[in-house]
Amino acid sequence: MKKFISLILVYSICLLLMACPKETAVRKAAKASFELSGLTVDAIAATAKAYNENLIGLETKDKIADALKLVATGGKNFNQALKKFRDQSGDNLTPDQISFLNVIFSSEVITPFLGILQTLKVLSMNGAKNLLAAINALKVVILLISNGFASAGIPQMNFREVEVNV
Amino acid sequence: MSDQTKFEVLTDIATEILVNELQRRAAAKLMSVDELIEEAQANWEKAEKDADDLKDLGHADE
Repeated sequence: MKKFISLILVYSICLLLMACPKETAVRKAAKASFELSGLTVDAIAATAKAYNENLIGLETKDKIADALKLVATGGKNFNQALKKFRDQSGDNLTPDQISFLNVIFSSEVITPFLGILQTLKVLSMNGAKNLLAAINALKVVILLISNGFASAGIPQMNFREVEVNV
Repeated sequence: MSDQTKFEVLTDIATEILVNELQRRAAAKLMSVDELIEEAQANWEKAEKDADDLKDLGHADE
């Protein structure tokens, strides 16, 4: 049974590594920006719903709103820089351009996202045990998106560190 | 609200987010780089506005 599970895991990892091998860095970054921007819009709607249903208090809602505003502004800056660099360099970004995108992404998008994860951590510690499954599902989505950026070669982020913090 | 109801509401929220995410990933595969950047820009601008609205929520009487 263990061998079978290992085989499945190895096969899955191979599939992930082989996925879209011809995608350029600029396309991966654009795709990640598109996906994360959509997730941010969804996260805002979800937070409003959670507040309206009295699942979270005003203070928690405000903290998440502040962090999501930072993510949105940072994401917009990242996307605008990406558009500018694509106009300048086409599909082949220069190392300087990639480095610039790294800085914006790490400081303006990931950092406020970590703030939300921290808030969720506090929420899950204080909340009832049976809320953990749903909260963890939200964390998984956020980590998946973050790793999507990582596989694009855009941020130099240590996601193991993120997982430990969650 | 009971814990069971809270759990159901949170599960609905998480499910909706996951489904939307899968749909976005499927849609992204069919889009050009320019389309992805354009759509992302519209989403980020909407997110900025929605975040402001979210912050205002519950503060109307202040």
